[in-house]
Amino acid sequence: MNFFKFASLTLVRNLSKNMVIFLFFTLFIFVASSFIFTASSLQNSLDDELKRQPDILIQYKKASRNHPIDNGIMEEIKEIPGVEKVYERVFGYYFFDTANKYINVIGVDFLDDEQEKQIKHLYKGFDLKAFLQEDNMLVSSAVKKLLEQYYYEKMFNFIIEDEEPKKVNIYGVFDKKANLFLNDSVIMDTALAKEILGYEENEASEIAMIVPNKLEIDNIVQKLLLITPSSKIITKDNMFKYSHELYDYKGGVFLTLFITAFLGFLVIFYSQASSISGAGKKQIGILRAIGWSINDVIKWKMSEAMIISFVSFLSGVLLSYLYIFLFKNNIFVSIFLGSENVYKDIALEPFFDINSFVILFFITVIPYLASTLHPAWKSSIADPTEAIK
Amino acid sequence: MTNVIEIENLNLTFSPNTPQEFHALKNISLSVKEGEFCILKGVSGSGKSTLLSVMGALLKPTSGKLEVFSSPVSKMPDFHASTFRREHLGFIFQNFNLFDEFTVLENVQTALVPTNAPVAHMQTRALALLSMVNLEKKKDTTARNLSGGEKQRCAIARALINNPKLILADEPTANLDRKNSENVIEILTKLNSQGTTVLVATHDEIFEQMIPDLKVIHIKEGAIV
Repeated sequence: MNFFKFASLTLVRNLSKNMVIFLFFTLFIFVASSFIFTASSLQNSLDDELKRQPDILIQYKKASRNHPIDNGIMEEIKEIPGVEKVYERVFGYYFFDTANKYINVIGVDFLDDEQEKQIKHLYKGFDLKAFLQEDNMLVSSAVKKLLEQYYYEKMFNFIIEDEEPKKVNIYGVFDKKANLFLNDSVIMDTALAKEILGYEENEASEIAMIVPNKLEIDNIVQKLLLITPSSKIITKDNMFKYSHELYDYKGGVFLTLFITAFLGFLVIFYSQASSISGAGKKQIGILRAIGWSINDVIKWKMSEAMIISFVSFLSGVLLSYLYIFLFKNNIFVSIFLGSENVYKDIALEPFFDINSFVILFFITVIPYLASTLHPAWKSSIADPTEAIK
Repeated sequence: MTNVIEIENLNLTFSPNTPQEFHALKNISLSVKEGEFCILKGVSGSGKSTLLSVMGALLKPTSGKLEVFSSPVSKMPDFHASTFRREHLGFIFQNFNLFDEFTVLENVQTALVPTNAPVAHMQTRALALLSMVNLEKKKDTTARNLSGGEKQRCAIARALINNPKLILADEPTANLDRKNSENVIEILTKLNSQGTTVLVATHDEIFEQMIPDLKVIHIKEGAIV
């Protein structure tokens, strides 16, 4: 029998008291881990998605609001050295008034190899020829569910200018993995999207470009400002920064609240552990009488604390992993993403951010062990003759 | 024969220089020789248990000389005193002081936990002692399910796990009936005949009735009489 075996036996002996500490500790770790899993998974998925985004975007702002941009400038942009490819992107919210919900309409140029490749990634067995023969669209599972509530099983009538209905067939539902970004979206041909959103043929939501040499980006941005001075230019770096700032801010607020709560738990635990019960004094007295030193008693008490904190930590992390990645629409996703106008059908991709868990370990387990040390020492120097009275 | 315990002018005062000052031990001088079976006899509150605690290096005297196996145990720092206790002394208590939720075998091994002894060695030694006190069949029984006599035999086995040369027993028969008291005394006598020095704090007459060569030290109000 070593200290750990002995500690595990004494923990079982005081099961009810130790169970309360275990449950509290596990709950803390569960909440914190769930937040970390959610944040890191969202961030990782977002980073992956951002990597696939164009290097530079140009949007036209009027009174700080997005307005359609003239796609005629694409010809001029193509002439800038270092720009490999320029294309327009069309998207916008369509108000589905019967449901009082917004649907994000995204136009895609299916004749562009890169975009077609991405669509095939989202929808297995995509047949381009059949898709383009009629007015078709791919929809998210959430939009599909919304439309079905209003009996649009196979098609949907978009109301365009002059109250004219525009019938678009539902070709299929794209992969749920894309729901993090496309939860409320439908994807269709660019020309059809322009018609539904009321864009002219020469208008787009933004102009995108690919720049293979990242060192050229700053120069190209300067040249773009000369071509279109009133435009907002967004580089991929800006996109990364914005997304990280958003999640870091939310994560920071949460961590502050969590650490405050955890310190409260430690204070309560410390005050309880500091007051030695009669039974505790007797136990220690017996051990001291049969040859345990003060160090041995501290080792035993620290072993108990290690068992509780390690088991709680692992249980909390494991439970939160199962909760976050097996259950959809967990509460933590809502905290990060906020409420959406359509039903959220988001399954997070499992992602384990080891650095965050190392930090979590150090801000929970280590303070817990430290808060155990003084009561352990205090109880070990208690008068051992209590036991033999 | 050499002295196992040697005490000269030993005093112990609790809360000195306060209104609660209490002289628990007063000018104690005594010696116990190797292989002796001694009892410290006195009424409750006479200082028997306190003197036993001082001898066991659990309490430090206020003044005087105390040597156990020629070692000044009262001057030892905690770590050395604990090691000394573990290696040379075996304690037996009136209330058995077992860990109720532990099995008999686990209780006996408790004293060996800080030694990092191999598990197999601990088990072999503990089982041999349980056999000696006739408890091997109860090795997997939890302590709370033992009778009083069985608990005391388990406590004796625990006290012997490190093969001590001196056994300090505090009222070991106080909570036992006549038959179980006789069993305990027989075990202690057997150990004594094998060379172990035994010192018992008691007011039970049964020791004087059963052991012919008994050394009796009378203690009254903290002083040897």
